[in-house]
Amino acid sequence: MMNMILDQCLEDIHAHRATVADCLAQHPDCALELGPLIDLALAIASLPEVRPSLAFRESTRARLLHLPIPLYSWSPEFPDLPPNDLENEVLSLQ
Amino acid sequence: MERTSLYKARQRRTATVREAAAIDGERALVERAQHHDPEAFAQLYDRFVEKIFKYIYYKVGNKSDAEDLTGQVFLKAWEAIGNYRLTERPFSAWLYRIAHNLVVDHFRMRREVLPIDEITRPDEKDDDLDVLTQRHLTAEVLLRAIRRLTSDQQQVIILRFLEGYNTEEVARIMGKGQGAVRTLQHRALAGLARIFRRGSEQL
Repeated sequence: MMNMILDQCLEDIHAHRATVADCLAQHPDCALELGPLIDLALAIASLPEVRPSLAFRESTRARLLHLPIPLYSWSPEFPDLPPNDLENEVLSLQ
Repeated sequence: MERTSLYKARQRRTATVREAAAIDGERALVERAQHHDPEAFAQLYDRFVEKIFKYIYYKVGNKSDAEDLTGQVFLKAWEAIGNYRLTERPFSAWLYRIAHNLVVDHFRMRREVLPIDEITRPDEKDDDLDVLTQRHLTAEVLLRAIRRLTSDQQQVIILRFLEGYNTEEVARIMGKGQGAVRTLQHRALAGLARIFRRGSEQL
């Protein structure tokens, strides 16, 4: 029950449908437990944004564009068989 | 009032149509990448590189390692994309799985254990979590505490609060039910609260 209440409160606060005070007022029975958990979730959500550097993004993208084709070639004829099974199947036929 | 409901319903429908189009676009890119189209794979990279980087960064705690591991995720994904099977789970779920495994290997190789003192300062014995939240919960301390949670709990916290997915999306990415995600979320936040309340005793 607490799982649902906490999740609903976090969704409502995130969507600006409610404030922390609204949620606590709606659930007075569990407000003592709920308050600190909501505060923590909000503290985590407000941590500074991190991004990879532009240099990393561009160099990795350029590298990906020039990668060799993987040794294992995906076969549309046997889409459900993982590669090892496909290899075993071929070996068993030989 | 009725007009507001209609507006909201229309908004939801528009969002659903947009999501469906995005999923179709993603599937098409994945299929092209499976046929070794590097441009399609590069477009998938563009879509997910920031999210994967964030996920790894919040787990390993430094930008240089996070960039290195993020690069490895996409290299491995390119090598293994032939094995990927299109399912109802989003493509990102597969990338997060690769990222998770690489992070586990990273810590296994380094055998890194965070010292308890670095999580809570010796003077932080105050039971009032609000005081701690306001005074001392710096980004670094909070991130170190998150890294003490179980792997699933960390994943829920990162996806939910740092990457901004809703519960339903987190459930799809993790391949779990929404109820399980809500339980993990509650336990993770309660675990963090305990870490900050009890300090080193908890650990």
